[in-house]
Amino acid sequence: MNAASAAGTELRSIDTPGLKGEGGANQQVVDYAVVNRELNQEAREIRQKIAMRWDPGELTSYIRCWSEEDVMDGQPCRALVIILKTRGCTWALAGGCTMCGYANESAWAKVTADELVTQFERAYRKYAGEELVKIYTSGSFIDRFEVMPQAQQRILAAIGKPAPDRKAPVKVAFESLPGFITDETLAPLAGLCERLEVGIGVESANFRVLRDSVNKGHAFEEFPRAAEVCKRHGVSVKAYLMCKPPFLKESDALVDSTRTIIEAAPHAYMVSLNPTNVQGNTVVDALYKRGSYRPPWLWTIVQALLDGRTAAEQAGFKGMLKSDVIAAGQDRGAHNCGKCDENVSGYLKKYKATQDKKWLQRCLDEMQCGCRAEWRLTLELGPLIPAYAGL
Amino acid sequence: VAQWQSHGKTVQSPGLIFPETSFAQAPPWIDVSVGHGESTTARGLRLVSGGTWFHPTDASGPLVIPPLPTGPTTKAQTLLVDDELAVFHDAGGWASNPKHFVRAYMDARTTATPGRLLWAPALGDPADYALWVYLGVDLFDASPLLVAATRGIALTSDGPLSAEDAARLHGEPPWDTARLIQFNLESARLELARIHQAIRTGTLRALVERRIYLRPASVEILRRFDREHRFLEAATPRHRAVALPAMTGDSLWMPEVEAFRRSFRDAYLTPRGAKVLVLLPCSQRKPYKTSRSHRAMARVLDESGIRPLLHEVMITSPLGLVPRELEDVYPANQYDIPVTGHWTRDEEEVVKTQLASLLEKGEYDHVVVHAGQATFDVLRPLLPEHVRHTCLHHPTSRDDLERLAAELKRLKGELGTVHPHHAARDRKLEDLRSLASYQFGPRAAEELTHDGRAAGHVPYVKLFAPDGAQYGTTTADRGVLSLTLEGAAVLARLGMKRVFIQDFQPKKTSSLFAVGVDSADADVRIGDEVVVVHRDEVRGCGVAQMNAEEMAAAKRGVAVTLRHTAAPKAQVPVLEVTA
Repeated sequence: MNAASAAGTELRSIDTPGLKGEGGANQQVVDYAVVNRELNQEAREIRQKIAMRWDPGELTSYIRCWSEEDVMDGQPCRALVIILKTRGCTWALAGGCTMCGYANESAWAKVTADELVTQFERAYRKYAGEELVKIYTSGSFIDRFEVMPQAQQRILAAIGKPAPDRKAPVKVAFESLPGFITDETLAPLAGLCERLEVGIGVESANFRVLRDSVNKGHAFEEFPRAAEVCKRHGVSVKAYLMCKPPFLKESDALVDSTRTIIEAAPHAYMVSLNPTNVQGNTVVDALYKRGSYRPPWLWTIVQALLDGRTAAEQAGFKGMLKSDVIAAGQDRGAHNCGKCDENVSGYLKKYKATQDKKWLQRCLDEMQCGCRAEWRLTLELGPLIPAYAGL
Repeated sequence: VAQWQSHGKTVQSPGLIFPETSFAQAPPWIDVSVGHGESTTARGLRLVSGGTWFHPTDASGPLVIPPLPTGPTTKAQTLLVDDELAVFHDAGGWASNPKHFVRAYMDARTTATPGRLLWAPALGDPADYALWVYLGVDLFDASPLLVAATRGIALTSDGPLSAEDAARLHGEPPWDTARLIQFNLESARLELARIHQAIRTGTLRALVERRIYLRPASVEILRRFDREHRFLEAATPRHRAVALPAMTGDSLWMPEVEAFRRSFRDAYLTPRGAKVLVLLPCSQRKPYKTSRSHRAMARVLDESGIRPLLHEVMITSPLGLVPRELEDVYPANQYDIPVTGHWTRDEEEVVKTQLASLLEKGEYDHVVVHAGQATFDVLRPLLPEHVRHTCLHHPTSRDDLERLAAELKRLKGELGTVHPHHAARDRKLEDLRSLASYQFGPRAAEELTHDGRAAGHVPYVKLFAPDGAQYGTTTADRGVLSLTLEGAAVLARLGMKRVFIQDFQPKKTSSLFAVGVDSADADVRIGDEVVVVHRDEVRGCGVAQMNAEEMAAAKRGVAVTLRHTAAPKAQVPVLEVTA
């Protein structure tokens, strides 16, 4: 019996020393200038409903593990995705981002280094020679309060130096808040694996979007700084951008995503534009249930990718820019009218695989669905009508 | 019908705000539009959008809708644009969850104050405008009409139609977006005009009940608001001379109906000396006494010789019970129901609750029920053991009327000698006391009628004070007591139904305008008898044309139609305050 199950049905909340500046010299994770206190308070209250806070289950069991298609260096490849059950994202434990539902998959209890390594070992039995391995937590892999440094090193070492009869993957990817990306955290990981990649949630280049929509807890400037650190340590950078976080109109989202692509592109080899989808126990979910949130139109994604890519290329961008639409065509995910969603998603996939923006242009030219008019009307009405409903 | 006057232009409530897009031009009847920057084409009033918090636009001018900051999803935000316009931010979003909408909307409507028109952005289409107007929304915008058109939907007051169906119904070739926009706008104009008409004739509730059955959410919202009695009641007149149709299950909870039942339970005093409770059926025709059936029953009651000792109370839905003294009072004199002879569970509960309250306060020695078997069965458990049921077939059948006559004759024997003249005179005053208790509460009723005298014949009964001064009179058109200055002074002394004005003397036979009113006692409603005072000096009395909140907030319009005004004193200015 572990500590968590001994706690019975009591609601769990845990200390977040990283937030309180106890994390050591360079660990300034949260910038309170980029915190919207009201939204953070609501996010914190909503997270009271997270089921794992009552029962985190076995702490030696990982959340999920599967193998999927991906792209590496412009070539299709296989990727093994492992999601570990950690105590949770330091920022989410304190309230955190308004759209993020990953806290639903956190233990909300201390998970030891041994337990994390056991989780990994159990999951890694599924490894079947994939070129890419993604080790995700519902927070930051290099947050030492979430994944202890020795657990980080043991896991990466196990991947990088497999048993003689098994092949090591070409690349290992993990994710982190930029605040944890420092020389101190990256140096011990050097040489453990062939190549490392870190995914950073950039979300937006706009300060007010970060503060008053996402409640991100750090400014955009943290991202180029972290990217610079990664470059020094030979770690490649993937930027996650958020399309249409809450309280943005469709017209705002289109502008924000396009600008953010252009701003983020110079610092990343890969930019991924993620349409906001409605995840449980989030501020977005509350807004959605109230009838005041509509995930972005697929048209907005296509247009933002096209405009962003065009401008970024002119500025010399040579990396990848893609959008993986979660729950495409569903009400809680990015969607159009229901009739054209599948076709538009098809164009997005072709674009992602080829990285040729002609597919985006062709999508707009060839897909003449009637819902384009509604989308255009929405873009015009957004700034005129003081409402979020459907706008 | 409220108005918004700004920059020399007038906007009627309910009205439609037209967003300036590349999709459509405003039709000529539109009198408010919203756009960016300056406009040379807008005819009526023009709101200038300040954009969104993400992308504020350069907006100047008097009517700018500033961008709202983000906030917690649970917080309703209301924007006060100027003295006469407020915006319930994201009304369309809130309305999609009726449960959350109720609280958010009441918050918005209260924040807006009655003095401001309220715009509910992204809310409403021709099928539910009536509901929103009934709840107090003044302005809609055309965005839902335009969005529906781009989706190929034609909106009618009977609900949405596909473009194909709409075109077929109109015998036209297939409709494109432009045709749909034109149709939806016209649909909106027509429905808003109908609502104007319904407001003018006092029949909005009936229109609302016809419309809501198109959508479960609309029914849910009306039901939830009907449970928020205080909110809707504040806007519901206490008196009006219009039929009140009560056709549906929801009519049982109309604010004026619930208010009547509550006053009957909480304020109403039964006439003292009425020893026999006679429960009678209601009639289609109102007031009951004008109906053929009640005239037939009245003959029997009159011939009994003990009518002044009887308390005649009609059993009905949705009001539950209506005593004879209140039958000329709104809504008892105006409601209209389908009669099937079948009681629903809710109706049974209502009538039983009312009866329990009546039996608790009435000092009855005997109870006679002259109503059908089904009704008797519903009431039987509450009635005393020795109750007599005299209607076995039909209330006006010869057998049953004779049975009623025989029962009353028997009771006359038991009650002993009755002096018909004295009993009738005493009863007349008692009936006024009961009426006054319903109207002003038991304490005022006592003050107004103690040692007083009543004279005249229904519906014109005058009430006199012990010193001979007239306190008031009942009238055929209002049913309730209309007070004289002396009667109104009694209310003023008790601190009730006061409308406070500044130090001026309203001119005789004029109207008191809201601009001259400082405040009013909180329970003042449209149709109430009110006393106009400056400090504690009575300056006049009359009938309220606004509720207390409106009188305090409004800068235009009639607050009170004055019946009597005090004689001007030398030092007080005589003013006719006009809007």
